[in-house]
Amino acid sequence: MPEKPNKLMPALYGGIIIGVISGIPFLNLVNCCCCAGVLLGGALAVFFYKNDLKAGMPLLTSGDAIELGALAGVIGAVIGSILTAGFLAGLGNVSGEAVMGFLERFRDQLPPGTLEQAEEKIREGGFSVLQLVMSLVVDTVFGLLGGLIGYAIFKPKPQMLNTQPPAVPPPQA
Amino acid sequence: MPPRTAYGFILGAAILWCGAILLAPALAAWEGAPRMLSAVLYRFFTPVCHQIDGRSFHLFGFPLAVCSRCSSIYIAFLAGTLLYPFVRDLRRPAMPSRTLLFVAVLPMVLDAGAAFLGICDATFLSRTLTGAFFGLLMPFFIVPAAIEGAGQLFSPQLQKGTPDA
Repeated sequence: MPEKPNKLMPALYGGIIIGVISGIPFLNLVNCCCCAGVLLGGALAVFFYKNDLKAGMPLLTSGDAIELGALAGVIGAVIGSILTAGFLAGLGNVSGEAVMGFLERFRDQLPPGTLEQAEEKIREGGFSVLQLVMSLVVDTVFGLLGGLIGYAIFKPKPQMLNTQPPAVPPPQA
Repeated sequence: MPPRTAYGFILGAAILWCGAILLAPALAAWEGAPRMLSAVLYRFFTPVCHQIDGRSFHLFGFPLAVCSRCSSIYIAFLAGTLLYPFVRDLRRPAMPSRTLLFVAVLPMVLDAGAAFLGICDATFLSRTLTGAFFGLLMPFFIVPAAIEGAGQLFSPQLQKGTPDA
């Protein structure tokens, strides 16, 4: 039976998706909803890996999904942090300023103190090693969960599984 | 890895995660070191959630570390994980149909999508209920896949070639 394909490339693709979503201003707001971008990257790593599986290869397993999701999360955290640092150095906190502009339009409808709180958070929004460590932890956990969700979506259908032929009963004496 | 051990890890992680969410406001009510630890916990959850005060549950007068939707997802996930062994057999991990996965996520997507498009505003209650519905069903996908995967990764000679239970 041919061996399974390498997991690094599908995990890298998933990690790039996580990194781009986490690092690009505006797009990173997707992660405000339970790290949806990281979950998506983990699930897509499983999808890319499943596409690499050829006929005759062992089927996709949940163990593969765990490895792919976690690895995509680690890669995504590194890429996302590099992109975040780059954008902050080059353009400043454009995403934060845009969010403030958006919130300003709804000043009357927001609960009291929301604008001040948002402003404070945006001022804090820099890049640090601590942030990279936190991203590594959070992205690995959510990437792994994304991988497991990906497995739930892309797992092989029951009829595709290798099934043992039924045991033939010994002849009766 | 035995299914009970794998399940214990997932349950432990869920308790730790939810504990940190609740601990952030509880520690903020104190002075000195606990308040600093609280600030670290709030900061830890910053990339995960917008943490808007007006959209969060409060404990001791301080908002939880994540918003009402996220809190309900995580706490319902913990509840679902606790419930799991009473509903399913840990030794025979089996996932529900993937249709249920879409059913779980649909109300939340509709609620958030309608608010984003300005069709109708999501309320505190709708955010909490749709989040809790999603969170409660997720362990029925995550727990069996994680038990099976942990079995494959930590004792490959026993589990190889059993991609689905």
